[in-house]
Amino acid sequence: MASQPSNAAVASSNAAQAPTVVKIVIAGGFAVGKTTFIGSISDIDPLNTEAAMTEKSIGVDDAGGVTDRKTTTTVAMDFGRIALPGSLWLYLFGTPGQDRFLFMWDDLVRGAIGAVVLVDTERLDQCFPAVDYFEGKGIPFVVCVNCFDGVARHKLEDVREALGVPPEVPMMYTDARERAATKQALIAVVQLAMKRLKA
Amino acid sequence: MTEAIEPYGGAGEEASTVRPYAVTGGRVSAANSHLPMEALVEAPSAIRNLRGLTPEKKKILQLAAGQYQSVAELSAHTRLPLGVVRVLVTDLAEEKYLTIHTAGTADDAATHDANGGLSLSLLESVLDGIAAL
Repeated sequence: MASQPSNAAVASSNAAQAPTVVKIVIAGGFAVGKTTFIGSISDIDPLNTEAAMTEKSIGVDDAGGVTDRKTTTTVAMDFGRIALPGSLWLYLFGTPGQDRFLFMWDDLVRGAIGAVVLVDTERLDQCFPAVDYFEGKGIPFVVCVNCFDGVARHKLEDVREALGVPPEVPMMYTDARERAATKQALIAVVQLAMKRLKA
Repeated sequence: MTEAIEPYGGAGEEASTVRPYAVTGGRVSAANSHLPMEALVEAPSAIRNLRGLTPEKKKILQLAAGQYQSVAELSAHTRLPLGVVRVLVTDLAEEKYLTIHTAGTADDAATHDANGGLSLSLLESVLDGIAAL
């Protein structure tokens, strides 16, 4: 900021301090309730973006079968934002947990506090890749078993065994529709990150 | 030096019908291609002369005019992929049309240790903030 800015953009940014931004990743299979979870606590209606796109030769009229060669790797990502006291903005990024989307996760988790893995006990296998990924990368994560109608169908310890997650990974029931439950899940992630830091 | 805008096929208003990387002049990464998706972008509320800018760049400046918008939000509102928005935002920052704020992100050495972990004091603030919601 040594040079004198020639327009108002830089000058105004000096006047007001920009918020500090942090993020937590919300992972889970399709229709497990990620968007509901984010929407239960976000200040803004959850937004949707394409996280990556490497469309090759779509619409290009080269001699070969064009449509057969298209490799569309668009990933729909939901996210929300929560303003916290002290000019802190917390972003929640929801992402599908399937294997085929893992290529973008390094980008997604860079600088993140940690992650919430949302689990539907009817489709446990959908969260295996997310659990493996976070474990492999050493990213703090908690497992939240979503109770769709407020009923817990499985014991947490049974789910833990089925997922093969170690005892130090916090597990809890959640209801993605409930702000209070979402809050507890986020608190658990931050506490885990702090515990890791102190260890 | 800011005049060197790449020509591109008449996209008009409908950015979504244009192949994504047409609007970046074919480039797939900016100098700062790792710009965090949560990094905040801010443009002046009184927008100066926008002549010569592509519709996509104008749209980004309008969205960020006088307020903070993350790269992810800009991507959602413009319906452009994140990678494209990163390139455009980086260009616009280099051309001094907007400011990028990365406090708290992985690009901010003040809040992250050498291993990329967040500082304890920042985590404490986040924890207190969530608990107070």
